[in-house]
Amino acid sequence: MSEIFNSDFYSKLNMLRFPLRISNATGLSGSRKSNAKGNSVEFSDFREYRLGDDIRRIDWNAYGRFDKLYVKLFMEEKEGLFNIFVDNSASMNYGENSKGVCALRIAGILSYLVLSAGDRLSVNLMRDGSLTCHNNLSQMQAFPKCLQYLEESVFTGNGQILESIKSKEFRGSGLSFVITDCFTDDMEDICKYLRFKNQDIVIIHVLAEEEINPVLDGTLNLVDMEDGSALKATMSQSLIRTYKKNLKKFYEDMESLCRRNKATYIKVNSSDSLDAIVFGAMAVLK
Amino acid sequence: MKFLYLWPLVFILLVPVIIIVYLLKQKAQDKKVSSLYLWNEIYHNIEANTPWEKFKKNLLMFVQILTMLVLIVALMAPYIPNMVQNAQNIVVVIDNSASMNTIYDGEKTRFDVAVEQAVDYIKDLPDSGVVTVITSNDNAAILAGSTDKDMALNKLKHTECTNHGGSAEKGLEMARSLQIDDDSLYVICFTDTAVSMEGLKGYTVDMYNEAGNVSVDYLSHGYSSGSLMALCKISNYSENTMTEDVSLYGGDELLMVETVEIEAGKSEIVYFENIDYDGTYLKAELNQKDALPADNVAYDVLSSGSDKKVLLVTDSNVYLEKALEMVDNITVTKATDVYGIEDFYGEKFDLYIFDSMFPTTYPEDGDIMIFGANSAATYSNLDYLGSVLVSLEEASATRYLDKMDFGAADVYGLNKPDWGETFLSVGDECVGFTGNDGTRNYAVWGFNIHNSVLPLKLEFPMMIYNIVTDFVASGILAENSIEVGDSLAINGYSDGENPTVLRPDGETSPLSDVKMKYTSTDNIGVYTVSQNTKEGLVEECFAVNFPTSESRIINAPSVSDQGDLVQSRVRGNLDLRNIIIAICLLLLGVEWIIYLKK
Repeated sequence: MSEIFNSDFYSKLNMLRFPLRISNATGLSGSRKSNAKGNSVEFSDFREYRLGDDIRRIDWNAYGRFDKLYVKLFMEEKEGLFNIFVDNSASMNYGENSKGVCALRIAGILSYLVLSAGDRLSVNLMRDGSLTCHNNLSQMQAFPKCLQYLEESVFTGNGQILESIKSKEFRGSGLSFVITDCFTDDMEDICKYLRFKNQDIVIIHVLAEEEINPVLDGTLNLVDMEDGSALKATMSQSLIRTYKKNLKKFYEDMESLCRRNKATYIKVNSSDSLDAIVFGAMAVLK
Repeated sequence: MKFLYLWPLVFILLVPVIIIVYLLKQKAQDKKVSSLYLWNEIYHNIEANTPWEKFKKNLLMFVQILTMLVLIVALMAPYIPNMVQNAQNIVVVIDNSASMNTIYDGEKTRFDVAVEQAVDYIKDLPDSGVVTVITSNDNAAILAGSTDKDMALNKLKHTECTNHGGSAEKGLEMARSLQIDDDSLYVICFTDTAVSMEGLKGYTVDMYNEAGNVSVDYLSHGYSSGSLMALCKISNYSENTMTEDVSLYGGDELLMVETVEIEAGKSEIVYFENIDYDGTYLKAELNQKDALPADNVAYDVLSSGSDKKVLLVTDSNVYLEKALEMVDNITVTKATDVYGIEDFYGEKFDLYIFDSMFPTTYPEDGDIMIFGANSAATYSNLDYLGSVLVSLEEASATRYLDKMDFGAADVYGLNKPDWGETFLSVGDECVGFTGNDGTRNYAVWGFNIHNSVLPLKLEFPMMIYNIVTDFVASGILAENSIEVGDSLAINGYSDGENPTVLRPDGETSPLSDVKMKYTSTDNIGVYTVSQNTKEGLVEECFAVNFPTSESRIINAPSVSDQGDLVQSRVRGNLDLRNIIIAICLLLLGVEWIIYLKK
C-alpha cells in the first residue's frame, strides 16, 4: 500500500491548485461564499431597519438621503462540506493496475484539493453495507492523516454501497464524490438519496483495462470476486463482441442516469496515468 | 436408392462418442473476474435467444455428427438402380473385331472404351445373378459366365481386341441361344457396327466415332520382262482427300517409296516397277498414322513352289497377257491358232486359257479358262443377251474388288453348273462363273473381252490374278495370302514329317497332322510353313493381312439407326458415392467456417 501515494503522487499534487466547485457551502465559517448573510467584508444588500438590528450596521448616508433607516447586509463566508465515498469491496481489487489503488489515488487527490481550499472533508470507505469514515478533516494539517487512513483501507467483502451511504450522517448540504465500479443496480437510488441529502454528486466510475478490453479464450468458469458465484462460458470473438457492446451500453446507461440526477459522471480507466485522470477525466470539476 | 454394403452402419456407434467428447470438452478453467454483473447480462441475453441461436451454440457438434453420418452413407456405396436391376442375369457382348481398334479418344481405342464402360457397368451390378461376358468377331467366345463378378471383371480387363473381321452378330446369336434357357436375360452389346437386337431384351451401346482411315487393301506382284513389279491398292475411308507416302519393303529392307493422292471415299492403285529384290515377301506400308493403324500395312509372298505352265490360246490380247504377267510362278506359252492345239495337250499344262477360240476337244487334265463362251464352248447356252451392262458379283474371283458395272456386247448367258460360283451377272443371268467339278477348275466368261470395256478397268488384272492364283495353287499351301481369322489348308507331303508353322511373332507351332486346316491366323504378317521330306526341307510362306471389310470405319451402317435400342453409353446404376463425398467435403468447409467464427 505504500506504493499508492508515492513520490510521483506527491509531485503531482504540487501542480494541483484549483477550487472544487460547490453550489452551496453550509459548514462552519470558512472561505466560501454562502447564501447566508454574515460578517464578512463583502457587501451583499440593503434592507430597512427592523427592531433588534445591530444599530452599528445602519447606513447613515442613506438615512441622510432618504430619511429612512437602512441597514447594510454583508455576505456570510462558510466552508464547503465534502464527502468522499470509496467503494472498498473486493471487486475493486481487480486488474493489473488495480481499480482500488486508482480509486484511493483519486480520493487522495480530491482530499488534497478540498483541504487545500480550506473546506471540510469526510472520507468514507464502503464495504458490506457499512461505512467507516473519517470525519471533520480540515486544513492541510489533516492531509497526512487522511492519506494514512486511505492507505490502511483493505478491499474485501461485498459492495452494497447504497446501504453504506444510507448509514452516513450528513451535516448539511455539500458535495459527495462516489468512487466505484458501479457494479450494482442501486446507482439510481444512490443518486436520489444523495440529492435528497442536498448533496451535489460526482460519480467517478473506475474500471480496469481487463474489464474494458477483456482478453479471454476457451471455456472458462468465470468466478465473481465478491460472492464467489460462477458462470461457465466459452469465449469466442462473438461473445467478446457482445460483452463490449454490453459494456458500452452500461457506460451509456450510467451517463444517462447521472444526467437525470444532475450528477457529474466521470469515467476512469485504472490503467490511465495520474496526469490523464486529473487533467483529463477530472477536468470537469474545475 | 439402394446400398451396396451395410457393414459401415457399425460406425454409427461413433456418433455417441462424438457427443461424449463434446461433453468432456466442456470442462472449464476457473477465471476470477471483479464481478459477473456484465457477464450475467450477456448470459441473460443468451438465455433469451431463439431456439435457432441455442442450436447455434452446438452447431459445430451437429455439423460433425452430420459429416460422420454422410461419410457412413458414402461408405455404404449408395446408388440409384435402373431398370436393369430387375434382370437377374446379364450378358455383356463386346465386339472385338478389327474395326474396334479404331482410335476413339486420344490413345484409347473403341474397344478400350467399351471395356472400360463394361467394367464400370459390371462393378455396379448386384452380387446376385450371373454375369456372362462374350467377345464377338467372326467367332464368338464366352469369356466368363458365373455369379463371380470379380472373375468376369478380371477376364474382361485382360481381353484384347483382335484383327479379325466380323461384328457383334455372332455374340448376339450366342446370347439368343442362352436366352432359350433364361428369358429374363438382359443383353448389353458394345459394337461399332449395326447389329440386330431382335428377340433380345437389352440395348446396344454405340461405340462408333467419326474417324479418318486410309488402308492398304491389297498388295500383289508380278514379273514384266523378267523384272519384279508390284501393285497395291490404297483406299481412302476419310472425308478428305489424302496424300500418302507408300513404302515398299522387301523383308525389312526399304525398297521404294511412292506418293499417292486419293480422293475421299476412293481407291488408287500404286505401281512399283523394276524392283530389285529376290527375297521371300514384300510389304507395303503407309507412312502416315491414322485412326486405324493395323490396316496401314499389307504383305505379299513372292515365289513359293515350282512354276506352273499356262497355255494361252488367243489371237491377240495384250490386256490378258499383261494381267498374266502379274501372276507369280507361272510360265505362259502362247498359241495363236486353235488348229492342232490338241498336240500341245501332251505337254500337260496346268492351265489352258481359250480366248474366244475353241478346240474340238478339250484336254483331259489341267484347269480351263474360257473367254467369250458361245455354243462351241463348254457350259455355254444359247441365251443371247446382246449388249448389256455386266455386274461384278461377290465371289472368290472378285475378292478385294468393289462392286462395279461395265458394258459388254454379244453377251451370252451361261448354263452355270451346281458347283459353279457366279462372279459376273446380268440381272439373274450368270455371264461368268468359276468352280471345280471335282476333277479340274473352270472359269467361263460369257462374252469376248475384246467386246467389253472390262480390260480397261482397274479390276480386270486383279480378277485374272485371283482366278489364276486360285487355279494353279501348288505346293503345301493352298493360298499365299489370306486375311486375319481365315483358315488355310496346309497340304504337307505325305511322306514327310508333320509341318511346323513359324508365326510373325516368332512362335513356332508344330502341326498335329501332315494335312490340316491352319486356323491360328490372328497376327498380321508372314507365316512360314516348313516340312522335312525325303527330298529335304520344304519351306513355303503365306501372308496374313488385315481384313479389308474392317477398314471402312466411317460411313458404315450406323449403330445409332436403331432408335431406342441404342445408347451412346452404358446405363449403369447411378453411383451416388461421389456426390455424397462432395457433400461431405462441403460440410467440412462449413465446419471450418463455424470454427473460425467461434
